[in-house]
Amino acid sequence: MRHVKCVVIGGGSAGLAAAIQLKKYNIDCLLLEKEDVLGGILNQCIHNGFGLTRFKEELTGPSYAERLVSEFHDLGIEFELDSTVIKLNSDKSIEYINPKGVHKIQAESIVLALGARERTRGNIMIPGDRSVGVWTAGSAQKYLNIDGYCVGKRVFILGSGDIGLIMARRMTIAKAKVVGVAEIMPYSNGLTRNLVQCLYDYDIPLYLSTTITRINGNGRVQSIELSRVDENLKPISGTEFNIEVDTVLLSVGLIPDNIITENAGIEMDPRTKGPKINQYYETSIPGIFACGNGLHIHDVVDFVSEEGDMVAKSVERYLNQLGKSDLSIPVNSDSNFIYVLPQTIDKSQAVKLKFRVKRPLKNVKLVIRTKDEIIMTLPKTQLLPAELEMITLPLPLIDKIQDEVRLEIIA
Amino acid sequence: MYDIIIIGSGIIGSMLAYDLSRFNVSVCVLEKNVEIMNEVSSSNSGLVHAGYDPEDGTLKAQLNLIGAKRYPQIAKDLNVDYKQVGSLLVSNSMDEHEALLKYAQRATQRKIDVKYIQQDEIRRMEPNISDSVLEALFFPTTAIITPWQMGFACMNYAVLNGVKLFRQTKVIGIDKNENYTVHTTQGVFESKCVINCTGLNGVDVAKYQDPNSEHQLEFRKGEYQVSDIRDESYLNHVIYPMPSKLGKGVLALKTIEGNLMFGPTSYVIDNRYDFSTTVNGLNEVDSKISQIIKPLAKNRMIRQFAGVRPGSITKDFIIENKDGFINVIGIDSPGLASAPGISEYVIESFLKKDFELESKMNLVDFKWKKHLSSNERNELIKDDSRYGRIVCVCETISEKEIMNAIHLPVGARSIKGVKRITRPGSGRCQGGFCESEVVRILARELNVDMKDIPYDNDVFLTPLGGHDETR
Ligand SMILES: Cc1cc2nc3c(=O)[nH]c(=O)nc-3n(C[C@H](O)[C@H](O)[C@H](O)COP(=O)(O)OP(=O)(O)OC[C@H]3O[C@@H](n4cnc5c(N)ncnc54)[C@H](O)[C@@H]3O)c2cc1C
Ligand SMILES: Cc1cc2nc3c(=O)[nH]c(=O)nc-3n(C[C@H](O)[C@H](O)[C@H](O)COP(=O)(O)OP(=O)(O)OC[C@H]3O[C@@H](n4cnc5c(N)ncnc54)[C@H](O)[C@@H]3O)c2cc1C
Repeated sequence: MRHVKCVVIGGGSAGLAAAIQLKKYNIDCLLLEKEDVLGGILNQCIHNGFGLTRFKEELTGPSYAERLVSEFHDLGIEFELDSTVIKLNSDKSIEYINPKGVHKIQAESIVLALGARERTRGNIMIPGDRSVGVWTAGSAQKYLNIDGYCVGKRVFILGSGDIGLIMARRMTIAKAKVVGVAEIMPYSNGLTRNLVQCLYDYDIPLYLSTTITRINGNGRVQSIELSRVDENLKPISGTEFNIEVDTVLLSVGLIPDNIITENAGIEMDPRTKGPKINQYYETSIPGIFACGNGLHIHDVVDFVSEEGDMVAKSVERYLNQLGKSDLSIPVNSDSNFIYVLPQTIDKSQAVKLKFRVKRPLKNVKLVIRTKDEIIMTLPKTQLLPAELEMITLPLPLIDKIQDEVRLEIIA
Repeated sequence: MYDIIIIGSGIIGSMLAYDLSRFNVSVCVLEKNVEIMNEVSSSNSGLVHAGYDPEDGTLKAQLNLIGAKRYPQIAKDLNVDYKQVGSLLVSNSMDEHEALLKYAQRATQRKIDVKYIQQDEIRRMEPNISDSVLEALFFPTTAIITPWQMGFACMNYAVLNGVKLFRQTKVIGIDKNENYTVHTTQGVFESKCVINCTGLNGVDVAKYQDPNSEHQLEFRKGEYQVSDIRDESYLNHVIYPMPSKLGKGVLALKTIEGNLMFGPTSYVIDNRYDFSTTVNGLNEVDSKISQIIKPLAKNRMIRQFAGVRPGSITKDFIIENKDGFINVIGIDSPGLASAPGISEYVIESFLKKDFELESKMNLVDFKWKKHLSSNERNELIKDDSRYGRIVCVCETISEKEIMNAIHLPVGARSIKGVKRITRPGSGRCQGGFCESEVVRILARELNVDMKDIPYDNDVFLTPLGGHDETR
């Protein structure tokens, strides 16, 4: 069986960044990508708005990917396309399939950069007819930007996150009539910039606190029933109204795609839907690391790549057996948070904590405490669920930590 | 001119085609849809029931037993999945004790294996059984199949052995002179004998032949939820609640592929083509299932669907021969389990009287291609690298397997057909990743534009599909 120092699974912006950085540390790696091109989801995101942090300019998705891919090729890193990993084992052997055969290799370390899949109608259980014409926003984006087919003429979009907003504009440019966007929350989860440039500029109405409660149409979608929702997000009966459309796009969230991770027996976090990690992005199996959308969902690709960089550093530490303490201190949070990463820390280094809050919060204090002691207090004028927050805990503060780190919000 | 025309290619039509293709008669099958096995036979529980619950003296009781007996051999001959998982009929209250004993007794009379078991043993067999379950009957012979796989395999065998299948051919009228003239949307067909197995349209087609036919159907919808859990140990058997006058009730099972499936509900509907899911129906599935097993996390659900049962108001199958026009209608549950029994019954009771049925020589074998193991795949890749280009990651399906589905004797013509035959789109992402690639392969293999590939009957990628002039 072939031996490799490090195998990177996934050639999107996370995996590419990790592989590039590994090469810079002089670590031989092999990158496996299931598609026939590198770049991942970015290849279909032809709009602008990528790279402001990493490249200090505004790029389209494909050109952001191209920057990474050309650096990757310049460094002569080994990769295989059309190569789907079907099995990951806890002993770090990997089984993958490509047009040359079914292969098994042994890795000394592994970087999971698997990306995300989209929530579907079945996941959010929209009742109604078994109609054709309901797609996830990403599928419609792929049909339009890769294959050249606009899947709808009168389109309704559920979910006002950035992908939903961007598809509202994209479908409009492709001559579809986008009749509206509904959002179950009382606020949009998209960037203000996208709300203005994708909806307001095209007079597309946004229905807040509203959701689709039925899809109608035997054969093609004919109409949808919308309802207002109460504060528990339950539809309020009597508020139903119908809109005629032939297509519904769902932009109702991404889920880290982790079939092989789960099957390997790696511990998962039900909140992120990705693997649990320590501060080195290492999963419950030593030597297997995770980053990018496969770990938790990112809004900005620059931070995806940055995570790839950081994971490469951890792989280097791991391969060179640089000590890590035996401590495993849990990072917890109160009910204001969707999640906090990493799930555990070991006190040997400064830590960058990443988190999302459950609802928009204004003028609050973010408190980081350990047992009874507050070790950090940060005033925050605004915290939004759509925005991944990051704070670094420097070493002097780390020293104070006892058997738990806890994030809380106080008014 | 055919000897026999079969109208409808659900499990009944497919099984009849399979059985008849081995005799020296000319047979054609007329199907209105673009794909076979796409109505009642595709949206059900996929169970080959042991056969204890139909009332004594009914065709249902008689033919379920024959069906259950024939299936293992058919599955073996066609290489399709048939898994004898066994079932538990559970009771949650001592009030149901009498009924439980009644079923045990009936099973014994019908020579169906059955064992009475109590709490400790139930829990040993099913760790996730609900705490309220008190006692149960264990039926080791209950089996699961993938209904469309069974039907597709039967029809492919039949077509390889001389049966003619006409799809997108809807029967709209029937005349009888010396022979039967069957009018369809694709012209006329003639035969000596016609078998009407048109499921939801059974009575309408029966009336084409006899306008005075008094049969009546009642349509009952059943809703389901499917989860992506593939945890081998979550559920080991099919779990039935106690039957009621509404049917077998909301049950829990693990499909051949390992997904958990809960349902169906049962209530009468007006529109027989109403395959919609409803809030009430899905909630009912949730609440009923929680009486028999411990609940699953909501976010594991990947799909909801509904099926419609075309039941006769007489509560039994209607199988009759009216002057060479054979009605096989009112086939609700256990229609799938009974299909081989129904087919045998039609042949033995009617066709053998009208035709001199002789077994054909030189039959061509047909083996269903099951999911490839890694070793099998590795071997196949040596001859065709497309076995190594994975299109559907959730289910590990390659480009070549999708091409094979399109080039079967009864090949896929739609996205739905490909999904039924090889499963891309059935997994977690529900086609999110692979659907466009499936469309691309269909378009290439059938030599048409992507927008002209149907999802299902007459519905396409773009709203106008094949009629779209803008591209
Ligand atoms: C529709 C959309 C619009 C977006 N818009 C913006 C924007 O405007 N600005 C912005 O900054 N960010 C945006 N983002 C976010 C950002 O682009 C993503 O977060 C980022 O690209 C994710 O990178 P990744 O490497 O984690 O995942 P991906 O790019 O999804 O890469 C994962 C790769 O892994 C491969 N893979 C998966 N499983 C296997 C396996 N088993 N074997 C082999 N290979 C495998 C996949 O084929 C894929 O190439 C957008 C994201 C989406 C989905
Ligand atoms: C919710 C539910 C659960 C069930 N569970 C089980 C179970 O677990 N076990 C079991 O044994 N049974 C079960 N059943 C019953 C079983 O599914 C049916 O009895 C069986 O599938 C009926 O098959 P069929 O061939 O008669 O009908 P169909 O499968 O509906 O086939 C009829 C065919 O005729 C075609 N057709 C109709 N009209 C015309 C026309 N005018 N011209 C040409 N073609 C036409 C249709 O397109 C269709 O292809 C269940 C049923 C339901 C609804």
